[in-house]
Amino acid sequence: MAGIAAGRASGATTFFGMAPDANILAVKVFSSFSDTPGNMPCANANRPSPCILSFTSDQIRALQHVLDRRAALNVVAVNMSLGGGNNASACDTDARKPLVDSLRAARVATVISSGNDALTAGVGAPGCISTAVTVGSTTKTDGISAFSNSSGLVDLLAPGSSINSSVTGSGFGVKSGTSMAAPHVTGAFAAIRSAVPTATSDEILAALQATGRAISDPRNAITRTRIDIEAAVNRLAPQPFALSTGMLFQLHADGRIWAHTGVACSASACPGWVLLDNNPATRSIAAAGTALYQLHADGRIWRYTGVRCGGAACPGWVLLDNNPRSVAIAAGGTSLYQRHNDGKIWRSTGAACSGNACPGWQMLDNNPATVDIVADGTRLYQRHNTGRIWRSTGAACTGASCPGWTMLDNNPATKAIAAANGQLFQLHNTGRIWRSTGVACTGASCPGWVMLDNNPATVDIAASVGGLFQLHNTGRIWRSTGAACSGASCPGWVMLDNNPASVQIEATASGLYQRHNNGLIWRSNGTACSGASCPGWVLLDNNPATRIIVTAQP
Amino acid sequence: MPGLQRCLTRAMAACIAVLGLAAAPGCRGGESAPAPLRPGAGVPDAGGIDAASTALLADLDKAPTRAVRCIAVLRPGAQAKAQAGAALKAAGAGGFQDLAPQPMLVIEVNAAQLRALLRTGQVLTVQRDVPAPTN
Repeated sequence: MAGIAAGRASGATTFFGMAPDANILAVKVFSSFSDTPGNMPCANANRPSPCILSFTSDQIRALQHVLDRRAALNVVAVNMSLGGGNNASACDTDARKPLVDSLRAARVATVISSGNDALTAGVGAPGCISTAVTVGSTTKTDGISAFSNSSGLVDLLAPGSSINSSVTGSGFGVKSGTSMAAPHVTGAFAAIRSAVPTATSDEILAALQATGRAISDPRNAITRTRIDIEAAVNRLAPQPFALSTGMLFQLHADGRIWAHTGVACSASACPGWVLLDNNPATRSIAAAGTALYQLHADGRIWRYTGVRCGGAACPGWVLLDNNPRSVAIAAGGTSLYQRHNDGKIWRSTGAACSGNACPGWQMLDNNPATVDIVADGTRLYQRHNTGRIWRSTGAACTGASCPGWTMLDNNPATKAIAAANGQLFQLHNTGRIWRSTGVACTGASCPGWVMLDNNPATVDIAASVGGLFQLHNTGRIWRSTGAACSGASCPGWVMLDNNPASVQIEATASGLYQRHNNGLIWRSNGTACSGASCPGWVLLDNNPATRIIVTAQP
Repeated sequence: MPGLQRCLTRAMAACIAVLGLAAAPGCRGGESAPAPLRPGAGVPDAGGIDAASTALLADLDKAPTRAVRCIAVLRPGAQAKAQAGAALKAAGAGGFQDLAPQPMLVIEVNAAQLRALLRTGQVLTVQRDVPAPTN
């Protein structure tokens, strides 16, 4: 039990207990017993004689001993992996409770195992004391251990099945029981207190209960949390993580959002990612400057507040909207925009929701033909399903009137637009790529475009301060030199890669990134291909769960 | 107490108290519990107070000479312990241990001795001192 709570690896041993920097104050409460005619303590405790048992009175002496020395030794928690009986309700007349209460008031948690009798409506004593921290057992697959006593008196769950730890004498052994679960929690209290020294026992317990993994006992439908120390620490003392312009983000299929710290993969390890959220509802993300936003499948829009996830807890998000019509978000400069499924376009004022009220939005347009919005700094563009491209003047709608748009093109062949650094580009379904000169249409005439390429293999374009890039359906990636086509000749492109696995490119001021269909993410170092050799890429991640990558434009 | 000494020399680190067999790694040793009390003897006669005490008395009355180990929770104050101790001695209880500073005594009593103790009016409740196993 001490090994589980505070074991430290040494020699050939490579694993640790929960709080390896903690010390142990060992207090003997067990005595040897033997059954005799008319006096069967071992049999009464379902143990073969001779056995070791612990008198309640000895536990009282031990608790008093701890209480007396708590300040000098900085005692954080008491572990009691013992008990018996079947208590369906709190046993608060137990003689040990006054000491449990005194310890609790002194910021010392008394952690007690729930018992191993497979009870589904009761726990043993002293685990039944309401002010103790009573612990049930989970398996390695986060199920409830079959032997674990369960009732509403259980406060927390922790692993207790097949636990390998130090054993009496020397060496290690594998044991199962709530006696193994309790010291996981005892050690957790010490580890959390070391990270958050001001936290009281009650606050640590509340943090452990509010975080971690919720596990329902199939025998009685009681749900408790299996502890997650990192999440609890993050709840008590949120861990900041600031974003920077040009930062790369990825969204996983399970909704996890990660920010890249700039660290490349080393061998098979790709440690350069920080978890910002883990909500399966996340549909898309958008970033600009030092801001990151996410859109949920139910239309909720959230802004990152600068607090990273701690374990499974990801508190760093503030709600900006909750409209189920929202289907897309775009970010540029310091502005955030959303598009509704009825074509309406809205600009955020920055105001967060207050309860269900989310008043922080100004309508910029209400045209059902809108199918895409793209932001670049203070500029906003929209594309219609007719191919028309519009630039916002910034003026909001007045009632149903939304005059704040200037038409830049009206070509039905347009299938995508990209904008960066004050420049707008469009991609046609023929593969042609065009750069806007900024000249607006006059009537049906839209002369303000210069052709940069005309290759039918082009499937995507990406723009940034660093330039314009295109992706071919063969996986080839090209960087524009800025030179326009001359007739049908379009020489202004330099090949950066030719890997058929490439399915997405994303550009930012700090560089160009590509995503492969197997989840690999690469950053270009700017080196062009030499023949078929394209060595200019650095691996940043190799997780098949990656669904999309996004960069933060200035 | 080498285990305790280790904690004292590194007082800034968090410390965990493990109540058990006192064989925790890195902190061997520990403090021994007192030896179990020896049975006493006496003559039954008395009444009860709270429900737990009443139930215990009823159980003891089934075998009046049988003594059981219990924890008596007393009213706060030295006077309560003094009166309780005197009553136990007068009733012939073999011995008792003081759980100071808690207002509690570990006693081993039969029905008559328990009644004598309860008559002092200094007892809040009496509970069996049941030995529990590890789990």
